[in-house]
Amino acid sequence: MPAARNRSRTLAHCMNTQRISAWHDGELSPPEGQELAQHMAECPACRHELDRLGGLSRWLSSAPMPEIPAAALSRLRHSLRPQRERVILRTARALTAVAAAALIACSVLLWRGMDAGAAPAQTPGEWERAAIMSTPPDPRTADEDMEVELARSILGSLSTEGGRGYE
Amino acid sequence: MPEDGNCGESDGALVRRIRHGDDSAFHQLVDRHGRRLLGLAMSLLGNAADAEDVVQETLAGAFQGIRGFRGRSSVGTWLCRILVKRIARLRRYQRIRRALSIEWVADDVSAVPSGALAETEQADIRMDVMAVLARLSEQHRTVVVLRELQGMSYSQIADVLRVPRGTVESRLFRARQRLKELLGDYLS
Repeated sequence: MPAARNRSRTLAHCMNTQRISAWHDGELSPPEGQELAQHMAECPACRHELDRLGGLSRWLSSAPMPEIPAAALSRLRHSLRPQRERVILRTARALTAVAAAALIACSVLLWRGMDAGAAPAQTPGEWERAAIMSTPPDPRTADEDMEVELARSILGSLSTEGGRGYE
Repeated sequence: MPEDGNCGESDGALVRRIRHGDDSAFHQLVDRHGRRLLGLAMSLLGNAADAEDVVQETLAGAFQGIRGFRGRSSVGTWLCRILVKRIARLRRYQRIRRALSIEWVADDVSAVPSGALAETEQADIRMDVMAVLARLSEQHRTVVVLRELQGMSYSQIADVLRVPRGTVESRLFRARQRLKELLGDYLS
Protein backbone atom coordinates (compact mmCIF):
# COMPACT_ATOMS: atom_id res chain seq x y z
CA MET A 1 0.00 0.00 0.00
CA PRO A 2 2.74 2.56 0.81
CA ALA A 3 4.30 1.85 -2.59
CA ALA A 4 0.99 2.52 -4.32
CA ARG A 5 0.59 5.74 -2.32
CA ASN A 6 4.13 6.83 -3.32
CA ARG A 7 3.38 6.07 -6.97
CA SER A 8 0.22 8.12 -6.90
CA ARG A 9 2.11 10.95 -5.17
CA THR A 10 4.84 10.83 -7.82
CA LEU A 11 2.20 10.98 -10.54
CA ALA A 12 0.49 13.89 -8.84
CA HIS A 13 3.88 15.55 -8.46
CA CYS A 14 4.60 15.18 -12.17
CA MET A 15 1.21 16.56 -13.05
CA ASN A 16 1.64 19.45 -10.65
CA THR A 17 5.18 20.48 -11.51
CA GLN A 18 4.12 22.77 -14.33
CA ARG A 19 1.37 24.25 -12.20
CA ILE A 20 3.89 24.86 -9.42
CA SER A 21 5.99 26.82 -11.87
CA ALA A 22 2.94 28.93 -12.78
CA TRP A 23 2.01 29.31 -9.10
CA HIS A 24 5.53 30.45 -8.31
CA ASP A 25 5.02 33.19 -10.90
CA GLY A 26 1.65 34.14 -9.46
CA GLU A 27 -0.08 33.06 -12.65
CA LEU A 28 -2.64 30.58 -11.31
CA SER A 29 -6.23 31.58 -10.70
CA PRO A 30 -7.24 31.73 -7.00
CA PRO A 31 -9.19 28.43 -7.10
CA GLU A 32 -6.29 26.67 -8.85
CA GLY A 33 -3.83 28.14 -6.38
CA GLN A 34 -5.96 27.04 -3.45
CA GLU A 35 -6.17 23.52 -4.79
CA LEU A 36 -2.42 23.36 -5.32
CA ALA A 37 -1.73 24.76 -1.88
CA GLN A 38 -3.85 22.02 -0.35
CA HIS A 39 -1.90 19.43 -2.31
CA MET A 40 1.45 20.90 -1.32
CA ALA A 41 0.57 20.89 2.32
CA GLU A 42 0.82 17.12 2.23
CA CYS A 43 3.38 16.65 -0.60
CA PRO A 44 7.03 17.22 0.37
CA ALA A 45 8.16 16.62 -3.23
CA CYS A 46 6.07 19.49 -4.51
CA ARG A 47 7.24 21.74 -1.66
CA HIS A 48 10.80 20.86 -2.55
CA GLU A 49 10.05 21.72 -6.17
CA LEU A 50 8.71 25.12 -5.13
CA ASP A 51 11.84 25.73 -3.03
CA ARG A 52 14.07 24.92 -5.98
CA LEU A 53 12.12 27.28 -8.22
CA GLY A 54 12.52 30.01 -5.60
CA GLY A 55 16.26 29.33 -5.46
CA LEU A 56 16.49 29.43 -9.23
CA SER A 57 14.68 32.77 -9.44
CA ARG A 58 16.84 34.26 -6.69
CA TRP A 59 19.99 33.05 -8.42
CA LEU A 60 18.90 34.46 -11.78
CA SER A 61 17.90 37.82 -10.33
CA SER A 62 21.10 38.00 -8.29
CA ALA A 63 23.05 38.35 -11.51
CA PRO A 64 23.90 42.00 -12.03
CA MET A 65 22.00 43.54 -14.88
CA PRO A 66 24.29 44.31 -17.75
CA GLU A 67 25.77 47.79 -17.56
CA ILE A 68 24.31 50.10 -20.15
CA PRO A 69 26.87 52.73 -21.08
CA ALA A 70 25.39 56.22 -21.24
CA ALA A 71 27.17 56.64 -24.55
CA ALA A 72 25.14 53.75 -25.97
CA LEU A 73 21.88 55.56 -25.25
CA SER A 74 23.28 58.73 -26.71
CA ARG A 75 24.30 56.84 -29.85
CA LEU A 76 20.79 55.40 -30.11
CA ARG A 77 19.25 58.86 -29.95
CA HIS A 78 21.58 60.22 -32.58
CA SER A 79 21.21 57.26 -34.89
CA LEU A 80 17.63 58.32 -35.47
CA ARG A 81 18.48 61.56 -37.21
CA PRO A 82 20.02 59.79 -40.22
CA GLN A 83 17.06 57.46 -40.05
CA ARG A 84 14.66 60.36 -40.48
CA GLU A 85 16.82 61.66 -43.30
CA ARG A 86 16.80 58.21 -44.92
CA VAL A 87 13.01 58.16 -44.78
CA ILE A 88 12.81 61.62 -46.34
CA LEU A 89 15.33 60.62 -49.00
CA ARG A 90 13.39 57.44 -49.77
CA THR A 91 10.13 59.41 -50.01
CA ALA A 92 11.81 61.94 -52.29
CA ARG A 93 13.13 59.14 -54.49
CA ALA A 94 9.69 57.58 -54.70
CA LEU A 95 8.11 60.91 -55.60
CA THR A 96 10.78 61.53 -58.24
CA ALA A 97 10.12 58.10 -59.73
CA VAL A 98 6.37 58.79 -59.81
CA ALA A 99 6.96 62.20 -61.42
CA ALA A 100 9.28 60.66 -64.02
CA ALA A 101 6.73 57.96 -64.80
CA ALA A 102 4.01 60.59 -65.17
CA LEU A 103 6.24 62.64 -67.46
CA ILE A 104 6.95 59.62 -69.66
CA ALA A 105 3.27 58.73 -69.78
CA CYS A 106 2.35 62.28 -70.74
CA SER A 107 5.02 62.33 -73.44
CA VAL A 108 3.74 59.08 -74.90
CA LEU A 109 0.16 60.32 -74.85
CA LEU A 110 1.18 63.60 -76.42
CA TRP A 111 3.13 61.83 -79.14
CA ARG A 112 0.21 59.54 -79.85
CA GLY A 113 -2.10 62.53 -79.93
CA MET A 114 0.11 64.25 -82.50
CA ASP A 115 0.17 61.05 -84.50
CA ALA A 116 -3.59 60.86 -84.35
CA GLY A 117 -3.77 64.56 -85.34
CA ALA A 118 -1.80 63.89 -88.52
CA ALA A 119 -4.15 61.13 -89.69
CA PRO A 120 -7.19 63.36 -90.29
CA ALA A 121 -5.05 65.37 -92.71
CA GLN A 122 -4.77 62.24 -94.82
CA THR A 123 -8.28 61.12 -94.28
CA PRO A 124 -9.91 64.02 -96.12
CA GLY A 125 -7.54 63.32 -99.02
CA GLU A 126 -8.76 59.76 -99.25
CA TRP A 127 -12.27 60.87 -98.70
CA GLU A 128 -11.99 63.42 -101.43
CA ARG A 129 -10.55 60.85 -103.84
CA ALA A 130 -13.33 58.43 -103.02
CA ALA A 131 -15.89 61.14 -103.46
CA ILE A 132 -14.50 62.11 -106.85
CA MET A 133 -14.41 58.50 -107.99
CA SER A 134 -17.95 57.89 -106.97
CA THR A 135 -19.27 61.11 -108.51
CA PRO A 136 -21.32 60.35 -111.68
CA PRO A 137 -20.11 62.08 -114.84
CA ASP A 138 -21.72 65.35 -115.64
CA PRO A 139 -24.39 65.13 -118.29
CA ARG A 140 -22.82 66.25 -121.56
CA THR A 141 -24.32 68.55 -124.06
CA ALA A 142 -24.89 67.52 -127.75
CA ASP A 143 -21.98 69.73 -128.89
CA GLU A 144 -19.67 68.15 -126.43
CA ASP A 145 -20.70 64.67 -127.62
CA MET A 146 -19.89 65.64 -131.20
CA GLU A 147 -16.49 66.98 -130.15
CA VAL A 148 -15.72 63.74 -128.37
CA GLU A 149 -16.73 61.69 -131.39
CA LEU A 150 -14.52 63.83 -133.61
CA ALA A 151 -11.57 63.48 -131.29
CA ARG A 152 -12.00 59.71 -131.22
CA SER A 153 -12.06 59.40 -134.97
CA ILE A 154 -8.91 61.56 -135.33
CA LEU A 155 -7.14 59.51 -132.67
CA GLY A 156 -8.26 56.29 -134.39
CA SER A 157 -6.87 57.33 -137.79
CA LEU A 158 -3.61 58.57 -136.26
CA SER A 159 -3.03 55.36 -134.32
CA THR A 160 -3.71 53.26 -137.45
CA GLU A 161 -1.20 55.25 -139.45
CA GLY A 162 1.38 55.27 -136.73
CA GLY A 163 1.10 51.52 -136.27
CA ARG A 164 1.67 50.93 -139.85
CA GLY A 165 4.68 53.22 -140.05
CA TYR A 166 6.46 51.28 -137.22
CA GLU A 167 5.94 48.03 -138.85
CA MET B 1 7.64 46.44 -19.91
CA PRO B 2 5.60 49.13 -18.27
CA GLU B 3 2.45 50.13 -20.04
CA ASP B 4 3.42 53.72 -20.19
CA GLY B 5 6.22 55.97 -19.20
CA ASN B 6 6.93 56.86 -15.64
CA CYS B 7 6.34 60.58 -16.01
CA GLY B 8 5.19 63.23 -18.43
CA GLU B 9 3.38 62.29 -21.58
CA SER B 10 2.05 58.82 -22.15
CA ASP B 11 3.68 56.59 -24.76
CA GLY B 12 0.54 56.95 -26.87
CA ALA B 13 0.87 60.74 -26.90
CA LEU B 14 4.54 60.43 -27.87
CA VAL B 15 3.59 58.09 -30.73
CA ARG B 16 1.07 60.65 -32.00
CA ARG B 17 3.72 63.37 -31.90
CA ILE B 18 6.20 61.16 -33.77
CA ARG B 19 3.57 60.55 -36.44
CA HIS B 20 3.37 64.30 -36.89
CA GLY B 21 7.11 64.45 -37.48
CA ASP B 22 8.29 65.43 -34.00
CA ASP B 23 11.75 63.87 -33.58
CA SER B 24 12.07 64.99 -29.99
CA ALA B 25 9.16 62.73 -29.09
CA PHE B 26 11.09 59.78 -30.46
CA HIS B 27 14.10 60.78 -28.37
CA GLN B 28 11.86 60.71 -25.32
CA LEU B 29 10.68 57.25 -26.27
CA VAL B 30 14.30 56.13 -26.65
CA ASP B 31 15.15 57.58 -23.24
CA ARG B 32 12.18 55.80 -21.74
CA HIS B 33 12.64 52.36 -23.27
CA GLY B 34 16.18 52.31 -24.63
CA ARG B 35 17.89 51.22 -21.41
CA ARG B 36 15.49 48.37 -20.89
CA LEU B 37 15.73 47.24 -24.50
CA LEU B 38 19.52 47.29 -24.28
CA GLY B 39 19.38 45.26 -21.07
CA LEU B 40 17.10 42.71 -22.68
CA ALA B 41 19.26 42.51 -25.81
CA MET B 42 22.41 42.06 -23.75
CA SER B 43 20.79 39.31 -21.68
CA LEU B 44 19.69 37.50 -24.81
CA LEU B 45 22.84 38.02 -26.84
CA GLY B 46 25.50 38.28 -24.15
CA ASN B 47 27.35 40.80 -26.27
CA ALA B 48 27.19 44.57 -25.85
CA ALA B 49 28.12 45.46 -29.42
CA ASP B 50 25.54 43.14 -30.98
CA ALA B 51 22.99 44.30 -28.41
CA GLU B 52 23.49 47.94 -29.30
CA ASP B 53 23.27 47.19 -33.02
CA VAL B 54 20.09 45.20 -32.66
CA VAL B 55 18.45 47.82 -30.44
CA GLN B 56 19.39 50.46 -32.97
CA GLU B 57 17.77 48.37 -35.71
CA THR B 58 14.74 47.85 -33.48
CA LEU B 59 14.27 51.56 -32.92
CA ALA B 60 14.82 52.30 -36.60
CA GLY B 61 12.24 49.63 -37.49
CA ALA B 62 9.82 51.06 -34.94
CA PHE B 63 10.37 54.53 -36.34
CA GLN B 64 9.59 53.35 -39.85
CA GLY B 65 6.57 51.34 -38.76
CA ILE B 66 5.17 53.86 -36.30
CA ARG B 67 2.17 54.48 -38.55
CA GLY B 68 1.36 50.78 -38.41
CA PHE B 69 1.26 50.79 -34.62
CA ARG B 70 -2.39 50.32 -33.69
CA GLY B 71 -1.99 50.51 -29.94
CA ARG B 72 -3.37 47.02 -29.34
CA SER B 73 -0.42 46.36 -27.06
CA SER B 74 1.70 48.83 -25.13
CA VAL B 75 4.57 50.60 -26.85
CA GLY B 76 7.00 48.76 -24.56
CA THR B 77 5.61 45.37 -25.56
CA TRP B 78 5.61 46.37 -29.22
CA LEU B 79 9.27 47.45 -29.06
CA CYS B 80 10.13 44.30 -27.18
CA ARG B 81 8.44 42.19 -29.85
CA ILE B 82 10.43 43.86 -32.62
CA LEU B 83 13.62 43.37 -30.62
CA VAL B 84 13.02 39.67 -29.94
CA LYS B 85 12.27 39.08 -33.64
CA ARG B 86 15.42 40.88 -34.69
CA ILE B 87 17.50 38.93 -32.21
CA ALA B 88 16.05 35.68 -33.55
CA ARG B 89 16.97 36.79 -37.07
CA LEU B 90 20.49 37.74 -35.96
CA ARG B 91 20.94 34.38 -34.25
CA ARG B 92 19.83 32.53 -37.36
CA TYR B 93 22.36 34.51 -39.38
CA GLN B 94 25.07 33.83 -36.80
CA ARG B 95 24.27 30.12 -36.82
CA ILE B 96 24.60 29.97 -40.59
CA ARG B 97 27.85 31.94 -40.48
CA ARG B 98 29.21 29.69 -37.74
CA ALA B 99 28.23 26.56 -39.65
CA LEU B 100 29.99 27.87 -42.73
CA SER B 101 33.12 28.79 -40.79
CA ILE B 102 33.15 25.37 -39.06
CA GLU B 103 32.99 23.70 -42.45
CA TRP B 104 35.83 25.88 -43.59
CA VAL B 105 37.91 25.10 -40.49
CA ALA B 106 37.19 21.39 -40.83
CA ASP B 107 38.39 21.49 -44.40
CA ASP B 108 41.41 23.61 -43.76
CA VAL B 109 42.81 22.97 -40.29
CA SER B 110 43.03 19.23 -39.96
CA ALA B 111 46.13 19.54 -37.74
CA VAL B 112 44.18 20.83 -34.68
CA PRO B 113 44.18 18.09 -32.03
CA SER B 114 40.69 16.78 -31.39
CA GLY B 115 40.77 17.48 -27.63
CA ALA B 116 41.86 21.11 -27.97
CA LEU B 117 38.46 22.51 -28.91
CA ALA B 118 36.75 20.67 -26.10
CA GLU B 119 39.30 21.96 -23.58
CA THR B 120 38.86 25.52 -24.80
CA GLU B 121 35.12 25.14 -24.64
CA GLN B 122 35.30 23.80 -21.12
CA ALA B 123 37.58 26.59 -20.03
CA ASP B 124 35.07 29.08 -21.40
CA ILE B 125 32.11 27.63 -19.56
CA ARG B 126 31.61 29.85 -16.55
CA MET B 127 28.97 29.08 -14.02
CA ASP B 128 27.39 32.46 -14.10
CA VAL B 129 23.93 33.40 -15.22
CA MET B 130 24.82 34.51 -18.70
CA ALA B 131 26.85 31.42 -19.43
CA VAL B 132 24.06 29.15 -18.22
CA LEU B 133 21.42 31.10 -20.13
CA ALA B 134 23.56 30.82 -23.22
CA ARG B 135 23.29 27.04 -22.96
CA LEU B 136 19.51 27.12 -23.21
CA SER B 137 17.76 26.91 -26.53
CA GLU B 138 16.77 30.26 -27.98
CA GLN B 139 13.09 29.75 -27.15
CA HIS B 140 13.85 28.80 -23.57
CA ARG B 141 16.38 31.56 -23.02
CA THR B 142 13.97 34.17 -24.35
CA VAL B 143 11.13 33.12 -22.12
CA VAL B 144 13.37 32.90 -19.03
CA VAL B 145 14.89 36.33 -19.65
CA LEU B 146 11.49 37.93 -20.26
CA ARG B 147 10.08 36.39 -17.09
CA GLU B 148 12.97 36.31 -14.66
CA LEU B 149 15.06 39.28 -15.72
CA GLN B 150 12.42 41.55 -17.26
CA GLY B 151 9.66 40.60 -14.84
CA MET B 152 6.98 40.25 -17.50
CA SER B 153 3.71 38.47 -16.84
CA TYR B 154 2.71 35.43 -18.90
CA SER B 155 0.23 37.55 -20.85
CA GLN B 156 2.88 40.13 -21.70
CA ILE B 157 5.30 37.41 -22.79
CA ALA B 158 2.56 35.84 -24.89
CA ASP B 159 1.96 39.24 -26.48
CA VAL B 160 5.65 39.76 -27.22
CA LEU B 161 6.19 36.28 -28.65
CA ARG B 162 2.76 36.06 -30.29
CA VAL B 163 2.08 32.65 -28.79
CA PRO B 164 -0.78 31.46 -26.59
CA ARG B 165 -0.43 32.00 -22.87
CA GLY B 166 -0.42 28.23 -22.29
CA THR B 167 2.62 27.94 -24.55
CA VAL B 168 4.44 30.49 -22.41
CA GLU B 169 3.61 28.48 -19.31
CA SER B 170 4.82 25.17 -20.74
CA ARG B 171 7.88 26.71 -22.39
CA LEU B 172 8.89 28.40 -19.15
CA PHE B 173 8.35 25.19 -17.25
CA ARG B 174 10.59 23.23 -19.64
CA ALA B 175 13.21 25.99 -19.60
CA ARG B 176 13.33 25.85 -15.82
CA GLN B 177 13.62 22.08 -15.88
CA ARG B 178 16.60 22.46 -18.20
CA LEU B 179 18.14 25.14 -15.99
CA LYS B 180 17.81 22.87 -12.97
CA GLU B 181 19.53 20.09 -14.91
CA LEU B 182 22.36 22.42 -15.88
CA LEU B 183 22.81 23.77 -12.39
CA GLY B 184 22.48 20.39 -10.71
CA ASP B 185 23.24 20.54 -7.00
CA TYR B 186 24.26 24.17 -7.19
CA LEU B 187 20.71 25.24 -6.32
CA SER B 188 20.36 23.01 -3.26
